[in-house]
Amino acid sequence: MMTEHVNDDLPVGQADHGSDDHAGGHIELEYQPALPINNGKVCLWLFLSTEIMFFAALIGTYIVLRFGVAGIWPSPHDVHVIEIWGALNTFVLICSSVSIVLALEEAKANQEKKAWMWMLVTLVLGCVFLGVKGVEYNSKFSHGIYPQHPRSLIHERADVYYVAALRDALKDLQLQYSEEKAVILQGRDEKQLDGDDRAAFDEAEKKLQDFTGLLLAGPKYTELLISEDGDVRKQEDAIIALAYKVYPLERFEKRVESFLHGEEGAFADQKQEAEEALQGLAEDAAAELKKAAQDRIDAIEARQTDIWTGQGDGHKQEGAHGEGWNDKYGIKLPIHIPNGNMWASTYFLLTGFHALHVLVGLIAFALMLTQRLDANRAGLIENVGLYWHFVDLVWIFLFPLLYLF
Amino acid sequence: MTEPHEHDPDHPDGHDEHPHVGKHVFIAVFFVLALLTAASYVIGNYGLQMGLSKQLTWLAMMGVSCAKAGLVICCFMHLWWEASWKWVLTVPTSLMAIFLVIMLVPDIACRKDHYSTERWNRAATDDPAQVDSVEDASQSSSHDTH
Repeated sequence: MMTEHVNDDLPVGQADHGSDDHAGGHIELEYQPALPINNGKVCLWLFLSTEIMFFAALIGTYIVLRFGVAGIWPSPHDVHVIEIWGALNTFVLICSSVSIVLALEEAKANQEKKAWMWMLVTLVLGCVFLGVKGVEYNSKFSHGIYPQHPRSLIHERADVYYVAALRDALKDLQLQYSEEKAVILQGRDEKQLDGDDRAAFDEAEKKLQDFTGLLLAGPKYTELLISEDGDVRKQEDAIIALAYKVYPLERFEKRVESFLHGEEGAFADQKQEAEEALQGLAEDAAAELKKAAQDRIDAIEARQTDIWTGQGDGHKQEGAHGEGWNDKYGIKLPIHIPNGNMWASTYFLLTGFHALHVLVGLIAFALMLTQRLDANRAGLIENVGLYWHFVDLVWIFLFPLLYLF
Repeated sequence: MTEPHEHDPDHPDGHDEHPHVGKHVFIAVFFVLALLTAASYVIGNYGLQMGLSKQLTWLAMMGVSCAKAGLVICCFMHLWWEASWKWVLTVPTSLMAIFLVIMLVPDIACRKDHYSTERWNRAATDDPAQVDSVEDASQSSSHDTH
């Protein structure tokens, strides 16, 4: 980009030496722009070209992972992605793109007040975008959908490890409310309680009963079934039915219904068998054996009560799946979403990097608002605008890929 | 849209280089973008009900996205009116971006082709043989509820 001009005033010999001995002062460098635009814009466009590759890599990786997935990619509703929020955010970004263009136009026309106004509008719209994003993130976090363990509750496979994790989680809840009961009692007898203590105690008691019921009808019964039935397909059905109760995925609805319908007829035989097993134990059999036999009967009985058959109040959440145990009881049990971890990783990476770019844009807008936005600043506004349009551009591709595919 | 402007390279001044584009052009583009967003939303949510195949809705939505991207790049980013330097910066990077994605295809996109039975046993899906039928069923049932 720099062109060497040998100074004509210098003697020929000296000028020749100038390039040999690297002496300063003999060569005059004259700036000749190679591109017909100002330096700031060149830099900004160079930066944007690296950004094109950066986001193309992220989006491309997502596409490749998404369509080359082993099995089923989570549907938007499986993971609390609500289409209309994405469409709204797209619209907000389009509006902000127009407002920054108008800010530039006003600045060029030296209408600094109007330019300032449009810049403010852009800033506010950007904040709205991030606000909506925050609400969306929160709906994922509150359902245990995180990109990483230990916060993530996602299990990719409905297998014995999932059932074991569920059992442990419910046992923890049992323990928690047993302890809470003990704390409320403070060594007193249950009958001595009154007022607030009484209510708190009853509530803890109710929770304890609920979670004991869930434990028996859910993981305990399922483990019983798995250990007794060697049919792999049926074992898988049983675990998927259990997972469906915790966090219902629409795609499993029919499979679970037909499995549960099929098992109803077997309860009477199972119970009789379990009772015979208990009676068959010797008088002096180990207490653990007796307890295990009793647990088996309890699990079969719990499976037939409301705690298992009840489906919450059956309402479907707006744009999401039906109500499962996690929503109904306000707890965080492990959930089963095939490929859910891969989904969470890609979703949070893509939207996170995009949100980071939005944040940088907002900082730039805030700084611009402190300036006089007249014709002298038009170049600066144009550069910030270019960056902002690029952020909009990325979202234009993210919206259908993440919300509608 | 306005005809591309023959650029005068002797005007390196950042903001005077393109012809004055009226605000009405930007407003018109804004409405087109909003309309295209609505089109994406409708195709994504109701495309299957309208009898389109899943692949066709994907193609349509990507087409709409490319159209929107084109409008933003050409109009809002003023690239339509820029001199030929725009090609130097955008074409090589776009090509690299596309090649990068293509390079991922053999190892990542086609990784399932070489899965052993053991690997399938550890995949997140429940039964590889059933994936397609389950997926179709879930797609149709999830769209029944809208």
